[in-house]
Amino acid sequence: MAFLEELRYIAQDGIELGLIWSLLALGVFISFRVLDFADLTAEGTVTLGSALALSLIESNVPPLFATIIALLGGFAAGIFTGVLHTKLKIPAILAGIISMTGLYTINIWVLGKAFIYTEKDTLYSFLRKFLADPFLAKSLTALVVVVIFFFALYWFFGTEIGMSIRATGMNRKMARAQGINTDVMIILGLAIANALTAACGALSAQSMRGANMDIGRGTIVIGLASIIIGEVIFGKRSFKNWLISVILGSVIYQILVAVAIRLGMDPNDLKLLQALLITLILSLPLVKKAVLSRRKEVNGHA
Amino acid sequence: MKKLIGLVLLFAFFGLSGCQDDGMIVGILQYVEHNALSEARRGFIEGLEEAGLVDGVNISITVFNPQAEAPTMAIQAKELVRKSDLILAIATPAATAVANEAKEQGKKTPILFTAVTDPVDAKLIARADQPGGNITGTNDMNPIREQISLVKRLLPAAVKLGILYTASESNSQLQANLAKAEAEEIGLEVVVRTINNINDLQAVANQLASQVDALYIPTDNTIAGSMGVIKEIIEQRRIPAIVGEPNQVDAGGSITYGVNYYELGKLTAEMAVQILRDGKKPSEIPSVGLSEFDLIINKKQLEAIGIAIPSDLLENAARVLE
Repeated sequence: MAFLEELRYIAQDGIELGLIWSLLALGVFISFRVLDFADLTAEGTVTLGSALALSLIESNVPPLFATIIALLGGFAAGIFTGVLHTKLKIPAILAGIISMTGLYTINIWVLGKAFIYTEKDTLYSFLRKFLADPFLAKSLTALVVVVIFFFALYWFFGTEIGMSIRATGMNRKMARAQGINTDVMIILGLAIANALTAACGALSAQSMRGANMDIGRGTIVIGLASIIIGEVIFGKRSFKNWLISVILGSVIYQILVAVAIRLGMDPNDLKLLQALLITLILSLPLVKKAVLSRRKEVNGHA
Repeated sequence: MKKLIGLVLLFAFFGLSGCQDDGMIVGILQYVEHNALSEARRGFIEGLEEAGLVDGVNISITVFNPQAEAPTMAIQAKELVRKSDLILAIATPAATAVANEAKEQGKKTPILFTAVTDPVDAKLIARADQPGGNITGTNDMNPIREQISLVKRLLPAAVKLGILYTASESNSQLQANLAKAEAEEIGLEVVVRTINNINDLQAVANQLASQVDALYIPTDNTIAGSMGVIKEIIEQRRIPAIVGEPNQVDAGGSITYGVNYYELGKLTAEMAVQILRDGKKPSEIPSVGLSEFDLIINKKQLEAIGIAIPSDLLENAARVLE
């Protein structure tokens, strides 16, 4: 039945894109939520990751190494933003903007031209040899990467250093009073966040086999929307639960995009829909609260 | 539970809207909202109409525009490849996304591209005259030879041409290299200067302008944003600036031959008609660019500089700035 087939496609597209872009959501989650740092570097590091991965693959570097180098590139960019903020005392947003601006030139330089397309093997090619279905090959590859990152993050943020990063994000002054070197924690946290976003760029570019300067555009909004959707639907009871929520939130977000596309919306309205969606979901807790307090009031009067 | 019901309603809605499918489905993926790209799209759709292929009558056109967002474009490319009988991709990233997705899904859907500067370099086609595969289309390469020929038309006695572009813009560099070769071929001595960023522009352009008879500036995003600086310098030094695209003339350049994206879209529509109506394969249709270009002349500026514009140029101009 056409309708069921349609549902299957929506689920497929949402899962494939959602898993790939959940790395971005995790990166944005670490900077915005864990560190409480509005880091705009992400827009530059997604592009950096895609540019590094594809240009390295084009020069015959194995895709796994190319992806790891892309990740390290993001890590370095995160350190840069962190140093700007902690050592040079530049406000968070501005530090991110400076990094993003600097990365623009670096990205052009890494890309070498306006657009790279590769026909060489990518990270997905390994599974593709065994699986005829491109969706399965891509989604499973992305799933493996996401699961590795999930366990790594879950483990790391349970260690003393990880806990110190979380404490720094919750209350910088208190953390410092506890003897935590908050500067180092912020730098490390941003480095991890941007390593993740760069890895997302690398995976996305390999999936499309193409990289250009635009790939990072608007990505912070995508990341934030995914986080918020995840939190609202799946909760944030524990750190583990929160991480899973962010990953699933990314999948739900991409499913919503897939639905919007199929609704035959005017393509230009898609951006507005995204903005409305985020506003709606952001305001949901407030609405919930208002409704609950009103209910209480009614109950109280009854 | 409420969420579930909402989701089901949503699905039911598009399930209904997606029910009627009669005739060929033409999918269009336009990379981003941009004047040139939208013109190409309009030209394509109107070109189809002129050939009797009308949206909603005997074909059905779906237009997607991801606004340059990578994940959205991925989903839209998948959707178009699944359902279309022919796909038009506008701009290089859209074209490679669609071509790659068709390869992944193992589909032989004919794909056309337009507004792609160098389709061979983008690995869309093997060779322009023999595209190979299921993809062909039109390129929007600037007519650099024609643009450089304007130097001698405006200044028959010109000896030295200065070429200026931004070092980091590889597309500009490509055009600058071609322009240098063309200029040397017609006997001009060429001086090439690059800028690193917009802050260098004033100094570098001034120095270059002082030692040449005319300037050539290719399509260059950085300089395009500051054509006002160029305008002042060339009007003061009384030399013309031949530029890469019409917008740069409007912003203070002297003259150009530019790509008319509407016509480019129409040219692509002719290919679509050959495929949809005559049953041709994309591999049988050579990938081409326009053969005629729009001449845009800043008459006011050229006259102020003291250059007599040949009357045939003025007669053939698509647009003259008075």
